[in-house]
Amino acid sequence: MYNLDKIINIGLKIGVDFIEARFQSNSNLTITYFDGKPRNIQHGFDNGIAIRIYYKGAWGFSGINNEDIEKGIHVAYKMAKKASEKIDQKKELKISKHEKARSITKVQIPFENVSIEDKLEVVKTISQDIEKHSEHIKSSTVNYNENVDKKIICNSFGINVEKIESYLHLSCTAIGLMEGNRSRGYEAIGSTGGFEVIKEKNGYNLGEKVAKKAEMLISAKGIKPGVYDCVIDPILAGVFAHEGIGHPSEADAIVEGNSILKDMLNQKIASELVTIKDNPLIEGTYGNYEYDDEGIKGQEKIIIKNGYLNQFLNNIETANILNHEMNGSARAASYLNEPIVRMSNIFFDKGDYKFDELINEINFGLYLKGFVYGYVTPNNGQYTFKCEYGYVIEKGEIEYPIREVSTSGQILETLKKIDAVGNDLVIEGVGHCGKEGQFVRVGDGGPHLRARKIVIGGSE
Amino acid sequence: MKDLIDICNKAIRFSRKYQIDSCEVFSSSSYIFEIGLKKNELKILRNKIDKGIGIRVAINKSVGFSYTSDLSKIEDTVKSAYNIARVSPPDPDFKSFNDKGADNRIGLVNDEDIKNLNVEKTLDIITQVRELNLDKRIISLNANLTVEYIQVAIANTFGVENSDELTTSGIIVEASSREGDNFSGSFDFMYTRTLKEINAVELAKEVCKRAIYNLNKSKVSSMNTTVILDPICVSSVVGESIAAGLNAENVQKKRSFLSEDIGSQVFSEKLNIIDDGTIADGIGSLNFDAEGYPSRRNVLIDKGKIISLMHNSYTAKKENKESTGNAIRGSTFWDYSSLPSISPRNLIVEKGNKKIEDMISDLKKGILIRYTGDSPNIVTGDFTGIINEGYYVENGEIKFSIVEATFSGKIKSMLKNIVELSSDLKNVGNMRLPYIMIEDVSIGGGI
Repeated sequence: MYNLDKIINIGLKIGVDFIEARFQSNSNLTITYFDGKPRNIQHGFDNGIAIRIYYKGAWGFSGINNEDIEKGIHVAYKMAKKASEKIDQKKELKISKHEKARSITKVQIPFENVSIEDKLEVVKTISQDIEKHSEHIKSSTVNYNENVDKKIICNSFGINVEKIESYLHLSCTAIGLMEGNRSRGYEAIGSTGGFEVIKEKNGYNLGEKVAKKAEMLISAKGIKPGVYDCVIDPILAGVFAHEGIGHPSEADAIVEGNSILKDMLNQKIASELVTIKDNPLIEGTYGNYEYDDEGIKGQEKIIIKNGYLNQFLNNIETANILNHEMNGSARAASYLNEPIVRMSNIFFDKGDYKFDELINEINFGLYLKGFVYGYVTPNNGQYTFKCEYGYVIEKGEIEYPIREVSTSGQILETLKKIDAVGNDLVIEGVGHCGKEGQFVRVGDGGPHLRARKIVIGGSE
Repeated sequence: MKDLIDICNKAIRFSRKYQIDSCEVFSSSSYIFEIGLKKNELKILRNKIDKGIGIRVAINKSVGFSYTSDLSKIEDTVKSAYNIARVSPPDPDFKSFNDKGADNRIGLVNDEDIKNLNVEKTLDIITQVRELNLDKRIISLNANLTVEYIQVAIANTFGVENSDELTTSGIIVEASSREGDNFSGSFDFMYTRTLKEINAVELAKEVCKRAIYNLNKSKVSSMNTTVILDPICVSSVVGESIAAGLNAENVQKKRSFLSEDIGSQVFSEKLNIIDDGTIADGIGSLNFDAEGYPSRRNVLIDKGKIISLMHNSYTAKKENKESTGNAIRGSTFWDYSSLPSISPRNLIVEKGNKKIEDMISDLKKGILIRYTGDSPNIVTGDFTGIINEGYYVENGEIKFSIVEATFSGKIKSMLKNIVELSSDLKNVGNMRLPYIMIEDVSIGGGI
């Protein structure tokens, strides 16, 4: 193990304004089954050190996985110094909280207590389940991924946080084929914890679930592009929250002038029914952590409160620039990256509508479910989300399924179109969010939502 | 690179202690330097050194893989790969690792400035962008320059032993524009093997110009019309479809919409596509692929007919064929922590014979689509994408920038309906692509 205090001391001796050293190691096991057979079983062990230096308004960074740590410190310093010559506004860096803490994910069954053979058996069973539950499955993938991250974060302000984060992700894809029609079903679960996560999140049923979905979608119809009243399921609601509001409320985007939410704090930007929160402290979610990767304690952030833009997500740097409170939103994918502003678990808060009421009040519309992927152009709020499937709603009744459709629009306009929020909040969207080349585990969710007059790209 | 070969051979030696059939060791190191301009301020300066090994061990038909960046743990990593292979159920389709190493020297272009990590030169490029006089309507300009020096080595128990190196540089420029309450923006990027090919100032000027033009925006109504795809959009619609659709693994697993069309004439006769891992200045070029096979040039589509798939050793041996040299590891192609998968090395869509200016001026009515963030559904062959940046064209002139519109269709019919390809190619990542004109594409409008 490297001595992080020594790195801090070298930095202080050079005369930097701030130095942070982060040791990060990751141990992971991935098991992939294709069509009921093993395709890839792999183990990885990765460790290294990230060094960040702030000097006269500029940052320098080194991420290193070999022995040349001292050189890394000097290169980071050299870069910060060089950059500081070209910076006019030399902002001082302050930290209001500095903790010494140790945080370990609660685990019932540590991964190391389960043999590879037993893990293989679980994945194999799920994989073989897929073909059992539908005769039209032409191909399937099951992917099991366990990780244990160890991180130690020290900085020259006195932060010293050591944490162990353990988490599991399990996903299934099934491809259906019948009379030339193809379909694709996807299901995933994930959470912090150990091997028990599979049972807690009903992972053993994942094969059956995905097979039934793919089976149903084979005969699903396409729909005409156009404008529809829509009910949105918790997975897609989570994507709206994540892509539509989460990314624009990351304070680095605000600082860079690259967010549609810039200058909108305390303004009404959504229907008063809308409250959106980001919270890393919820156990049993995929975006769960106690301390962030700058060593700041995580907390609940209310980004939109009853329709009003209330709060941004901040790291040490953005909090300093904007004079906001730090709120523990800094995450780094590995020792090769600096911590940047990220979400944890983002979700629409629940309202008081029952699911049936949401549907009943639609004369002709769509019930949109699941998602394939989505993104938003941050500076204009234009979004596109591809839903996995949906149903046509006619006269208040759910009728027949439709296949993959995309929905697009401008996020702030769409948030104003939400006219009912369900009471059935779940945070079960699990994913790996990419930003500036860094992928981190995140959760998202919400209750069912209803929005009027949504633009739908067709699939007919 | 000698030290990487030594590391590989050290792991091979450890592997001989175990009851195994064969072992393959891939090792790479990358020295990365990144400079970022954010909101026109010199912001990110990053130095990364990443070095490690990935080991595959085969026992009969069972394969185990393990990797590490901790080179004091080479023996543990071999053991971990062995332990996985030992408990893995056999894969009847697995035959062997690469047993045909070949020395194949093609003489690729590498940049000494990048190899020597010339920080000053990279700083100069970004400083030039920073010193640009910007229009008041440009509210932020971000530019990210990354240079990378990668060394790669591979060795296996069949006697394959090879090493090579490459340098790359890449720049991404994004501009945001604003006029009153009206926001817009644009972006562009380029990747090359040398720094001197990066023309950052020109790129930034063009991006700012487009970001300002895009403030002049409007919705369109739904229609079926002729579209011209910019090379960036071609990379999503055509490039990704072919890259994934002719990936032998997808075809063998029936996950490709082209599974039933191999050897058939399914696209427009104007469409010719090759993949070439030997182009001297291609960012996907190296003497060999990520399993040590010699890089080569393969015709994928000839006059609309599908000629060949892209293989690695696993998919090729499954069909008793030779690998086409398309094994890569991870998104960077040479990532020691990833298993080999399949990708085009440098995908080239052959150019046509009309200039893009003439393609636009001859267009009576249609849409020029510059960028979509969407990808085709490779399984079904459906495409639905938002037009993130696009222009309405009437009587040969660009009239306005489009918002809130989508375009969609079956990839197969889109590639059948190609009527024109431009006479100039643009590099988009590891692809070289023309503008492509396609008839009868469905546009979903916001009106």
